[in-house]
Amino acid sequence: MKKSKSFSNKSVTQKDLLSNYSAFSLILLAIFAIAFFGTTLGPTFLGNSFSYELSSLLQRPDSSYCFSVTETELGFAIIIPFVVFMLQFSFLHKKSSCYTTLSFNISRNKLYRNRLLLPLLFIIATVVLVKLYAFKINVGVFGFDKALTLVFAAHLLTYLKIILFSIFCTVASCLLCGRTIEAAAAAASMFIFPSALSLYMGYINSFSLYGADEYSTTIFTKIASILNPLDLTDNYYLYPSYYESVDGFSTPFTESIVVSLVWIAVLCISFVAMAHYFKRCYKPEKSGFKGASAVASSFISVTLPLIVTLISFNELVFNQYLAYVKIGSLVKYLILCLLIFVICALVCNFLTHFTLKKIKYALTGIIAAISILLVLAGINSTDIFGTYNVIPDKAQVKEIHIEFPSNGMMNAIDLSGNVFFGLIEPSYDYALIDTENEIELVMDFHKTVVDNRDKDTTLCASFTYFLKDGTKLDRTYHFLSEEAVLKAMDFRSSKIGEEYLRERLLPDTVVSEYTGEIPYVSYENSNLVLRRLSGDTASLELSNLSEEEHFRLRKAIFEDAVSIPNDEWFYPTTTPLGYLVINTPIYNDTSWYSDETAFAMPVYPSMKKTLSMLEELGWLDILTKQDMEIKEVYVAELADMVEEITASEVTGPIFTSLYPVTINLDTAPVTRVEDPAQWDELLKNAHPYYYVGSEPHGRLLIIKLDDSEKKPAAPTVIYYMP
Amino acid sequence: MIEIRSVTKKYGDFTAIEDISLTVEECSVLGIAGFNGCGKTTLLNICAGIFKADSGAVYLDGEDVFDNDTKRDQLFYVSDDLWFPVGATLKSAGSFYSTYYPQFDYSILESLCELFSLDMKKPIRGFSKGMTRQAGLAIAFAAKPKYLLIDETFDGLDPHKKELLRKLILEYINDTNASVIVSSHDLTEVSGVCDHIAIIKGKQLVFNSPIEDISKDLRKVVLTFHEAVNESLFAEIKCKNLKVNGKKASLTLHGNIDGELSKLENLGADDMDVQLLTLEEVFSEETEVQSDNEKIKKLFK
Repeated sequence: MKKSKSFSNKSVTQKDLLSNYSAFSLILLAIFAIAFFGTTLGPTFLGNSFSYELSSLLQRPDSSYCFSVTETELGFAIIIPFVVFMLQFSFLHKKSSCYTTLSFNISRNKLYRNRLLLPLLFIIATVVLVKLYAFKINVGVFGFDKALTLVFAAHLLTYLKIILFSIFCTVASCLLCGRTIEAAAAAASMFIFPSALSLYMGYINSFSLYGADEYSTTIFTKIASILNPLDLTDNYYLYPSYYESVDGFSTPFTESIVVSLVWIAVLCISFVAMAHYFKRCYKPEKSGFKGASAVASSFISVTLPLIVTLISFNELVFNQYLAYVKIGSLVKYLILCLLIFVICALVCNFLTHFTLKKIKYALTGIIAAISILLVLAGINSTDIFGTYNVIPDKAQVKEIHIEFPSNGMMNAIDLSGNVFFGLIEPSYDYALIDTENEIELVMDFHKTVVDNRDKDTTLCASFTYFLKDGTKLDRTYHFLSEEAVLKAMDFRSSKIGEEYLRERLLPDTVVSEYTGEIPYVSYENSNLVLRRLSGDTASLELSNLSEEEHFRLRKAIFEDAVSIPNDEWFYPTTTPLGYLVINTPIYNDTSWYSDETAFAMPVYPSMKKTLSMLEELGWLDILTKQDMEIKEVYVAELADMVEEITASEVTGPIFTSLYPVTINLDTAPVTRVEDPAQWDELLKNAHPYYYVGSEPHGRLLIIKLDDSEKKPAAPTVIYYMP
Repeated sequence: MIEIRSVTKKYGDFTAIEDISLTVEECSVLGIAGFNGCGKTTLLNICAGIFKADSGAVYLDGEDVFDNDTKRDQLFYVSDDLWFPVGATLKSAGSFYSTYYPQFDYSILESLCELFSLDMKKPIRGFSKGMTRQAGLAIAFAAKPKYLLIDETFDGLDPHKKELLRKLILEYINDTNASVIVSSHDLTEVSGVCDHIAIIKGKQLVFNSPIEDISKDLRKVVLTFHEAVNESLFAEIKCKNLKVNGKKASLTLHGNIDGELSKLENLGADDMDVQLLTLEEVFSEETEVQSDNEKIKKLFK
């Protein structure tokens, strides 16, 4: 008799579909919820919070679109497959259900396909349909263009990759473990393992590459990101025609698509391999309905301790400024973390097997994990690949791109030396350096960075060399030495410094009204504060100026600023007349305020163009008017004042920040100078600002002004004394 | 016909059953007996296609049972812990099992429920152990399988239900020509229903015989002498379980019974009583329970 061949068992499929209709309805609802409340339909700001997403449900994109996997979507993409497939394969974890199901008239291959493919196809079909609908809406608004398709493909494939990986981890764990609780632990461990390992490698890099963390771009972190299926492309907010103006715009998306496709292919092959494993044997058949298999046990024994170690590592080390942690302490922390890792691994192993007899699994995992990490650390610290030390020959260099990035731990080097921006701008991104002198300047700086590898500051720098043979060389350095930071000050009087000032004082995109360009910096909501030396302020409406006057004022400040010599810039000998503080908001969307550009520029008597412009506007008298007398004078060691004024004001270049600082003189460790005869002498030796570097040196001169007639009270004025 | 051909199954380094061969003809019931943990359930799991044998295989009318999706709709395995869907009643369980068994007959299920006094509308999880067992058996018979495997057949059943089940099995094979395997650690219980008996000891098959031939090759002999004798008198006799107690001696003959009996007659006993063995005695013989009895006797002395 001819045997009937079918891919799956039809009646069982129908039965599964009917008996699981509640689960499938849940999937459907959840995916629709993700899709609609996620970023795919709405404008850029969707995804900031779930409530925001909910309230923005009906909004259509009008100026930009964003296809990226948000945290909300990521959570759903992990949890839904996990829950669904734990249910689908939980029959393996109870003797009665397992034996009864396996005795039915259905081959293991068909059983596996029925349990796997039905919900898998259901989830994927729902996701694809919903995403395509979202794509259609965006096409309706923006039109069909290359960038939209590219970003959409990257987003969809990333999403599918994560869903498939979650399914893989769940199903593999069910086949490898005897009980549901162990399967859940193993699935979570497998899922987290690549991310945890990637993070761990980042920390190892951080030690061996002198503090680099997310900015380290070594070959290992690149490999780790490819091997981690949860590695996401950043949130890309795409503006119409923006991609045409950005070199290499498509690169991250193309890379993401390729990586996702490879992952999807690998996962599909893995599903087939698991079918063979299921047919041949699975864990309960081998050793009963208890405990995890060696593979699952290894994941649990390594991943969970890895997470505990990462948390302890983070608490112990990264909550402090790494710059102030000495090498000896770091080694102690490292040993402590390894001990935590080993203890956790042994406990996890015991809990998964309920016996210490199988401790060899944990030990093998621990030894393998530590060995790999130590080898990586060794390779990094000895710089075998030259990722740290190698600087190309000047003759080979065509262009250099230099960046001073910043994050929560790292501060950007501020070339303004106290004058501008404080903590306003998150990072500094300079134009390409292509002249011989400038290249030499950057490379001298680079050499100083490499030659001085002490952990000194919380500052970092990143170089990208474009060589004449067409190749590219990336270098990132953290915790730059004091020498390197001082060397960077040479840039102030170079083209780099000039461009830096121009970007802030004369941004190209400043317009009086929205013209369709995103982002744009608006005149209309800019404001100007004249801060007199006494600390008193006067707000003026910049919007009262014409566009031409606004530009002339900015240009005058810029031209005066670039003409100030370096010595005078960093260590001024002349007291300024006062400060000009200009705040200008930046819009990344027509209605969404997202950032601001601001500076507080001291006005010296030598800044003729600025003074002339202020006089023309009738503002000079307001700036220079002195109507308050000194009432009290205090002196304090800068190092003692760390608690009184914020760390950024001490360790950053500016302690005369954008806004006047108020110090509680009743509690601060200050010494009052009683003799008014000494006040003039102290003021003569004081600077309105100073380049501090990373360590708080010198003293502060704190002056309290007569505030009897001022409401609110005039602020305390702080000067620096070397 | 169910054919078990040289089946061996290992769990890691542990061998559960080794080189077991058995055949269950149509309209026949094979009883498998043995101690707890001797491999009965493992053998049935392999027969049901749940486990794959490490060597050998089980065939249903010539087709390998493992991973077979054409023959197993005719096979029902009542394991010692039959599974029902969560919250199922006998009615819904019948609906569930009917998906896998195309010949499932609801009228049989209803009749059996009536016979066992089971409420089809009550959740099975509220049933006692014996009632759950009866529910599983009712589902099994309603599925009308050609091959029926029942593990720990009479476990949890009261004497009345045990008798009822024996009759049901016999009636079922008469009506359907089914091949049935029942297992139990209690030989007396299975003897009333099976026509073949197989005994597994440790991991191997030690006894396999039709029920009518079960004691054909075994005789228990009790001899009485006029004076006390010792064991050396029986040196030439091929026997088992020789016990000498003064003037009395007992032993079991295995194999060439007539030859050995004539040798015994020449020993000069005043009286020689030759008996057939009961099933329990056969079980004890094959599994060497006697040695345990000796150990127990010495245990508290």
